[in-house]
Amino acid sequence: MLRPIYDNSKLWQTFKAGDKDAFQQIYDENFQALLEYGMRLTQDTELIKDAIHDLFVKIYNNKSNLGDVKNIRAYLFTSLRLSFLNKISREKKVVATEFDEHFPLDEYVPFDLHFSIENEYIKKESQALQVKSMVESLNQLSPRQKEIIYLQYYQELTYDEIAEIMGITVKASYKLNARALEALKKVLSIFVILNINLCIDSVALNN
Amino acid sequence: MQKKYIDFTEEQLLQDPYFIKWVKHHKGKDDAFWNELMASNPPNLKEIESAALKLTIILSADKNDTSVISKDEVWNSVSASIYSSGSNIQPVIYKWLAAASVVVLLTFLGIYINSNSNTIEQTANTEVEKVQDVAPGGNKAILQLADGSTIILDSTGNGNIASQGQTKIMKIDGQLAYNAFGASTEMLYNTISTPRGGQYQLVLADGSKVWLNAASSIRFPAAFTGKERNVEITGEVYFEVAHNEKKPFTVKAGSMAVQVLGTHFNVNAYEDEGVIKTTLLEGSVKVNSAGQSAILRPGQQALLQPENSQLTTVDHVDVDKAVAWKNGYFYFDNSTIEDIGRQVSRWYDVTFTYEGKIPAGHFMGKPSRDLSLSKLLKIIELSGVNLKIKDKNVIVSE
Repeated sequence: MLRPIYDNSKLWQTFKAGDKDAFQQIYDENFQALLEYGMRLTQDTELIKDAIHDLFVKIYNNKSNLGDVKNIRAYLFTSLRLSFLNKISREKKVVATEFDEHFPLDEYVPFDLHFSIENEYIKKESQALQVKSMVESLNQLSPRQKEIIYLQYYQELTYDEIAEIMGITVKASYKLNARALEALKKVLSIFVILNINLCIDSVALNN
Repeated sequence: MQKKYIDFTEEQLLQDPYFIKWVKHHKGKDDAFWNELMASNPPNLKEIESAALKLTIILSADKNDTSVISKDEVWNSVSASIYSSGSNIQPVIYKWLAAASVVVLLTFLGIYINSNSNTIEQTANTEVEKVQDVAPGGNKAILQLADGSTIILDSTGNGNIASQGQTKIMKIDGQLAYNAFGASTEMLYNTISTPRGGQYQLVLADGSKVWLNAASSIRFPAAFTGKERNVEITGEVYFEVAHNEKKPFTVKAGSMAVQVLGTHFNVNAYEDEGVIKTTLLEGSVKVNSAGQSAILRPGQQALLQPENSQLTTVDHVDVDKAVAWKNGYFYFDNSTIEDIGRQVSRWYDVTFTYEGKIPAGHFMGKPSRDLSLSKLLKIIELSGVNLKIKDKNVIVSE
């Protein structure tokens, strides 16, 4: 294989077939993003190194058993996140007495996303209060809400991909009862804080 | 692109990937599009400017210094792990007492992963043997839901595959996770079983982690309602139980019951091993059987011989040996060829038959579970025993 493969599906298929160059291309294209994401979940560099190492070794070893993948980055993020949660909860011996019904595995995992007020944003005096209020609201978000913001704006992933990564189901084939729907709204309610109306239409739900 | 840029709100812009890309990356050619939009209609200008400001603030979070981890360094360790078929594998030492001691190091043999079976067909020739091979085990299991319906996990796609009451079952490659989305009232029992040649991982609704070896099973409720957490197993299962003082966790394996508060331990209850072993790595468990009980500390092992119902405790066991399977390798420690035969036959789904006298002697080594059968047997053969693969049968001779 001489040149990089631009089509994600084709790249994944080529990798699954055993092509080592395709495997390296996947690594090259996604390492930085995985590292960035990892450093938001933990400060432990050894843990991040291990998690990324284990992720790539695991997908290579299991390549013939893997399914088709539309977005390679989203797939890698899903696997990395699961692996992180296992490692982090094992390291910290997380006491899981009360589980958050919406996020049973990651209740205690923080997310590093910190905002500060930059004067350059404040072009008019009238904006000062709005900017300050917004920065404060952002900093007060829960770790999972911050993670959703990060995945949508920093990694540019879609709602479906974010839901998959974080283990929330939005597949139309499952009837979401009222409680699950509330949970989803609560998680996406970051947008309410930022004065935005939630467009649930854009997410395929079946009620 | 033109479809929705009429009468849009700031809110919509903030969820529009195209808008986000423009503000983030300031691509020159897109500027024209957005500038024109802003100029065409004053309300547009206001929405776009306001949304752009909010987006800029959202994107302004403190950045981390990613130079602390080298891309090349991690790649090198990935390559090394792949080409030596598994990470954290110690060099292998083989000793066969019956013959002269021959010590062989595995690393220089250049073993590599081959998860597909390799059958090289050759034209019929009485002097040339057909080379046969068997692939190692993989992530295979069957899930049985409370209503009796079954799902074959090997061929199911990733994502949420079923629900049981208020619990959703999610699959990612070789692992299932039970996520409770609400309080359940009834106990819906599920069973996951691995075939010979299979293995699987599972996260229970309380966060406890479970690893199933080949030819094993676990029966458990989709959500833990009630005052206790009870599961039943067959075969070999490793647990990392989530701590919950209010709800003790009990594992039943044959006539041995292991009661835990929160801990890491391995239970080996294969019937053909003749003994049920529970090895404790961390935490504390109480083992009960037929009126006897023993409290284990980390590094201890409880043994139950079903035939005489004798429960004994052993101190300072090699815990690595008990959980090597979960970490991806075989751990042969003073093992007879029959011990090896039983473990290998479960993982590769083959049978072992002995031609003539069963070779005596003891065997030591830690080969990877990812090797194809022929490669594994070649390693064992170096110590002087003869092993031949015929279809799904391994013939052992001296």
